[in-house]
Amino acid sequence: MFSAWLVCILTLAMCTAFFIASFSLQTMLVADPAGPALYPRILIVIIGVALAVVLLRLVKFTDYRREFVKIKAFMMLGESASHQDASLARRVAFAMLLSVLYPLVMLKIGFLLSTAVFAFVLMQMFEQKLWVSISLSIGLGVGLHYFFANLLNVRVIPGQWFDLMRMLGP
Amino acid sequence: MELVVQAADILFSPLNFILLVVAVFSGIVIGAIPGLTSAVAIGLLIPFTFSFDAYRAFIMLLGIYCGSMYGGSIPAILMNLPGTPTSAVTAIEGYPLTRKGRAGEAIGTSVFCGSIGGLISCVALILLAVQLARIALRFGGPEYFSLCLFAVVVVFVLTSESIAKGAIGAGLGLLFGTIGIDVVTPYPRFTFGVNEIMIGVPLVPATIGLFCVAEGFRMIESPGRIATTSGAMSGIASAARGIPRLWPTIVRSSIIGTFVGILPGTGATVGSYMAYSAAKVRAKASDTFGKGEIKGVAASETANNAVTGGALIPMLTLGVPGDINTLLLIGALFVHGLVPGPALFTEHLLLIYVIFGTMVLSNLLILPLGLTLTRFVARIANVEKKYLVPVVLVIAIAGPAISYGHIYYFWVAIFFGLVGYFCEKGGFPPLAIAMSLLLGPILEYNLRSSMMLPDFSAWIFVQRPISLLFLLLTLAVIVYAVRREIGKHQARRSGAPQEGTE
Repeated sequence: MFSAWLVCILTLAMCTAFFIASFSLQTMLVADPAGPALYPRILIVIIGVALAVVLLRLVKFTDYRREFVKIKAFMMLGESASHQDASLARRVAFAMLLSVLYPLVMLKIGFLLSTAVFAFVLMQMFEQKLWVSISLSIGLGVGLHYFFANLLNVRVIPGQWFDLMRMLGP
Repeated sequence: MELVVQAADILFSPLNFILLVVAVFSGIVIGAIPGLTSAVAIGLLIPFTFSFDAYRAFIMLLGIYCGSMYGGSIPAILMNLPGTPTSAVTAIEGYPLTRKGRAGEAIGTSVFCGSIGGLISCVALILLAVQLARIALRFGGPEYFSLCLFAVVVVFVLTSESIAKGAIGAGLGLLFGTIGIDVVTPYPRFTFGVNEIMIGVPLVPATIGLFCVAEGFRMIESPGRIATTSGAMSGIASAARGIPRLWPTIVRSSIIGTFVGILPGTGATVGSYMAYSAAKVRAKASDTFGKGEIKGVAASETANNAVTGGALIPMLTLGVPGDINTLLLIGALFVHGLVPGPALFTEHLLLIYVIFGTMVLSNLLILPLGLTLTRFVARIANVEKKYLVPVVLVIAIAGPAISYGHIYYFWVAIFFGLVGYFCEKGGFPPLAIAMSLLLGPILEYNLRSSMMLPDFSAWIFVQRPISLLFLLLTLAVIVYAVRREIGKHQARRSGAPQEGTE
């Protein structure tokens, strides 16, 4: 239910933003009667109608007490904080947070190190042995970097603060 | 004829052939690992094929596609744990057979039937694709608009229990497709002042995010080792003796699988379920459906693999993917500067023949690889998720993004990973989002270009026969969806368990 609510609310916000933004779009071609705004507005109306149906169902069928208990458990409050579902949900949330931080860290310390750190923290989240985490994460970072930078000749994102590959030379 | 010879030269060149064997074997292994699907494997592999030529890239991707369809049956039969969602139906009859000591017979039947089903669908692919491409040459704006509308509606109706949630999923994908440069007049639209967004939502990172990154998050929710079985697996090859008795089941399931594969957005899960249901309906008194019936394994595995050829037909000829895997393969086409559709058959016919040949060879290779290496695959498929999850997440985020050399693509993969995860949990179909993201710009372009025709009137969409056909099919699907919804509502009111999302 939480995911359904989240998707509905964010979709509503997105549709509102797009609808308002559609008024700044102008028809550039006389021969294009629809213009760039008509199609998105039609979509927004269709999504809006479907959203109304889903939201009505959610309002009617959501067990608010159960959802509140789940949220409390997720935030490590209440008796069910140690429940397996809440613990797994926290793990997923942590992995999502790490994923969002990954590109931010990559901009600062470069692709290789940030990838190794990302993989290391994920493996530690699974309570992997330290030496296994270190060796696998370094292997993954170095392997991917070598494959993309050397074999595919792709421009790997360098770090602004610190870049290991630049330090090691060409 | 010359092109056929050239295609054979490419396929049987030592490196390409070895790559194909490795790809089919890898597909079998990946399909056998619960939690990994062919879509994840193809999505993760696409970035690694950027530097290959298109022929080699498709040899590898299609090898994995075909191999993984068989691979999912191994844990389904041995451990009652489908390696892929498409093998869930196989487990119903396969696992009871294992418990009766007939694991080898079940696995062997799965190998033979999967290979035969795949080969039959390849015949359909080769015969129908070229003909359909010729018909598609007559498509104009109204036809493409109606076709894309039909594909989007079919996907969201068939992949979601709720028509409203399916419409939201499809609508979201279509709306995301409007971001960037307008399809008709090259001006920015919905960029909100962010320069990077002007290029729009890139398809490859977005679809890999929707399926692979989201799958990585889902795998975190179910970590741990899967219990193995030490059941005997003898008699795999001797299952061939039972195949002649299964011919009616095999032929029927191949036709069902191929047809389901052609329908956009349905996929092998629907195909194997429909084939299994058809076999069950025709059960004789002596059959033991539900308690270990070899016909059930034959039906589901034949249809499973038959979907592969069918799904390629609309993908190659019309640019409309038949399932998640072909949607990702369209991304691979774009990466190599190719556009699916009838032009592929006129300008890149050699690639088409290589694709046909790869599909035939892959389905043939399933036979020797499946018969000889299944025991080995069953052991290595027992990998713990704590090793798998970090690798899948890192490659799923970094793989499709790094080749573009800009941080924006990482954000796209992560954003759509989050979208895919929460949408799946909330009951909104990610496949509808992905399909709409792909087809949305085509839909809008063809709608607006049709409206720009001289003396345009809305009747143009119904006056042209092919467009009218697709619109009528769309209407039929919508009517089916509404009736299904009404049926569910009535069942709810009469006290049946209500629909839950989580």
